[in-house]
Amino acid sequence: MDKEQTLLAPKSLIPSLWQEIKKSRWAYAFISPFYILFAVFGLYPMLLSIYLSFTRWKGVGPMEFAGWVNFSLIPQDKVFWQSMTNGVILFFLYVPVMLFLALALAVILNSGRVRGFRFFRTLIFLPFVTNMVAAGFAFRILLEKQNGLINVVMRYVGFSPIPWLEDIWWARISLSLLIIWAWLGYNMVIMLAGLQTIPRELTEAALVDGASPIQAFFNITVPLMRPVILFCLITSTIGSFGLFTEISVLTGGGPVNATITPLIRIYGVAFGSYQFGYASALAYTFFAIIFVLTIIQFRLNREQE
Amino acid sequence: MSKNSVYKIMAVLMLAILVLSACGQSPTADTPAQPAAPAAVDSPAQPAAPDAPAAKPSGKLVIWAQAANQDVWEQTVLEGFKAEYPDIEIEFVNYSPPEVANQVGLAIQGGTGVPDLAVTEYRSITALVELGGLMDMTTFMEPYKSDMNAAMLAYCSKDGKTYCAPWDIGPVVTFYRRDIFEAAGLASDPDSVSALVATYDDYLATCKTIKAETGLNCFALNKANNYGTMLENMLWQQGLGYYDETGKVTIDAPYVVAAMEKLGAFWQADVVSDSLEWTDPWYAEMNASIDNQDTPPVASIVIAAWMGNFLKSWIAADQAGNWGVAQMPAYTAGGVRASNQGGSAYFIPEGSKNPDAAKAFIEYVNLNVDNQVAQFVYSDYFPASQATYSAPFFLEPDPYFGGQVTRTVFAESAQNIPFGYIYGQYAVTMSGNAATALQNYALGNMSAEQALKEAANAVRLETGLP
Repeated sequence: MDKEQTLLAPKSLIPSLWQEIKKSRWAYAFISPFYILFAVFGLYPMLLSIYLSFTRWKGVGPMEFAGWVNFSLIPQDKVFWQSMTNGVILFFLYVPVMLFLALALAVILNSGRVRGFRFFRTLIFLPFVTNMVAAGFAFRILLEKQNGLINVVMRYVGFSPIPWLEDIWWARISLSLLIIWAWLGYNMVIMLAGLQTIPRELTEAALVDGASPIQAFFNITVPLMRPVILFCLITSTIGSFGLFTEISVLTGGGPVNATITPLIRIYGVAFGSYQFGYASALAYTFFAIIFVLTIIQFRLNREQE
Repeated sequence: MSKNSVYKIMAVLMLAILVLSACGQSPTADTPAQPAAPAAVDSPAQPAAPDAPAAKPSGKLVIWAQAANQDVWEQTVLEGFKAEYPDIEIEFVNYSPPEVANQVGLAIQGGTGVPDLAVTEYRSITALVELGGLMDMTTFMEPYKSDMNAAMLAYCSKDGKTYCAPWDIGPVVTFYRRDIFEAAGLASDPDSVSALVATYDDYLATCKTIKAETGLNCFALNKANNYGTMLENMLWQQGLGYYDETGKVTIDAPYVVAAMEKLGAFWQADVVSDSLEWTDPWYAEMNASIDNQDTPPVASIVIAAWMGNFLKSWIAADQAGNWGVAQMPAYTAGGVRASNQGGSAYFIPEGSKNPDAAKAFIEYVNLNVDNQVAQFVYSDYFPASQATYSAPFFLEPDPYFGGQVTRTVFAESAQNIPFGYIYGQYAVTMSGNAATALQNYALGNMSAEQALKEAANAVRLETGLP
């Protein structure tokens, strides 16, 4: 036992740590519900999933150990790679537009020239708290090819109707529109919070020195907002690969798998084919890719600083 | 700080690990408290205990089913059941059909929380039958087997044992618009229309006539998001499908390529509309009058019998008297003119706390011919029980369909449904990939052969099937 203890940690450290914990036991007791729930519903599934990724398991019955078989299938899985490509395409379709609009709206609202600031902030945030299933159905009805409101207006104005959900690229654009509509307010509120930490004097001084508002925006606001923009960028990156409800309701992944994301693919493998082992392997591959992408984004940001 | 405290920490950790890892074990190991439950019911080891028949089942009966099923029971047979079994207390939980299967699967795995009885679609049940965890109902179902639709009962069976009790099935027929056929100069009585659509080639020729004479589309066949239901019909009616009796994936077999190309001829002839099933334009096309310029109607739809109720109740109520029912096209001349779409069955998960009450419910509600007919009258859920087909109700004319006796057409299709290799453990994956192949082919991205080859490979990779 003694030998094992010394392997775990220096002997002197454990008692002092224990003393520390004991001293503030009530604080630990009060924060423990989160950690207990996280351990049961977060950590345990995550760890089990690692084990599952090395097995063949149908959700019922014994788990057969399969070694690296699941991972060896992934390079040939065209649907999974298509879903990754879709994630990248969606990212470029909506993230730049959404973040730019969010920042621009935040700056305008923050400028102090907008009357009814709270009203507009609530209005822009409202879609975020709207139920996505309801919103998705509303979009589907609006974008419907024959009699959808948007195409009816298009035809009335003299344009030919757009196959919003029938064409690979238009379906992706439709999806981007839904996402921007739903998530713009959320990103704007975060940007707004970030803007309020930037002293107003900086911009005012620049304006006094003769900079135009646009110059001040790009040379003062944007650089100071970089950490906030990075946060929005990373959450949006992860978000665009993990879209689920938006897609299930609006496009169902079609046409020809053009709008499925890795998350939809993993769900399909797990609950469509009951291949929980392979689905876990896909999930961890997906996690590794996202992890690397996030690190790259951090690095790029640091280099620019 | 004593060693004692370290032991305590370690003990807590060990306990936590034990508790957590226990959740991952198989349900049999996890529920020692009720190991006898599955065996007690259906096992031939307990041949009708002498004192058994006296006691009627009682207690709580938790049923998982979609809300529409519950409505059918409440409106027709539930009062009678309660009178017969006053001591059974029913509790309904509503899920959509795929969700019933998902939740039951999760509950079986978790070893707790299964319902006592559930109803869902064959497409989902077949996966549970294959995976295990459903109660063996072989002995219970034995007296009723010969009466049940054989093809659909096969989906309840594995290795000679029966795991579900068929309720309704979806015999496929051709619904057609009498007024449009007449406007195209064609005969519009059911027998003549059955002859006009005798095969898919005949159907195509008829569609061309309708388009030429009236400018109207023959039916809806979406390209970009097609679900592949027509393709499934074409395979099912030949007794074929996405896999074969050895379990081999056949999505790229020549007969699937041929069926897809046969369907493709309807696009090439430009006789179909592009509306997607179960969307507003699709409904509108079936409810539009013949002279509606904004939404031109379609002349027909090949779909299961349950569509009759949908047409009259909410999709095409305006067109009462204009719709008729004919047989579906055969794949080749003289071939089978029957296929299946959907349908559902009852099953009892292992671990059901009240299997006796569950069986009493199935017996009273589903296996009693009069009660089954009562449900059919109310809901148009076409029964899998063939004894119901001789009920007088089947010969009654239907005013919505211009006074036609439609149920005999449904029954004829029902009795000819072959076993199709469509539903099964991997039904969702197979039909999903086949639908993607059909979309690729329809949009001109790939040849039918190439698209199906890709789909088959994707299915093989995902399922590990040969």
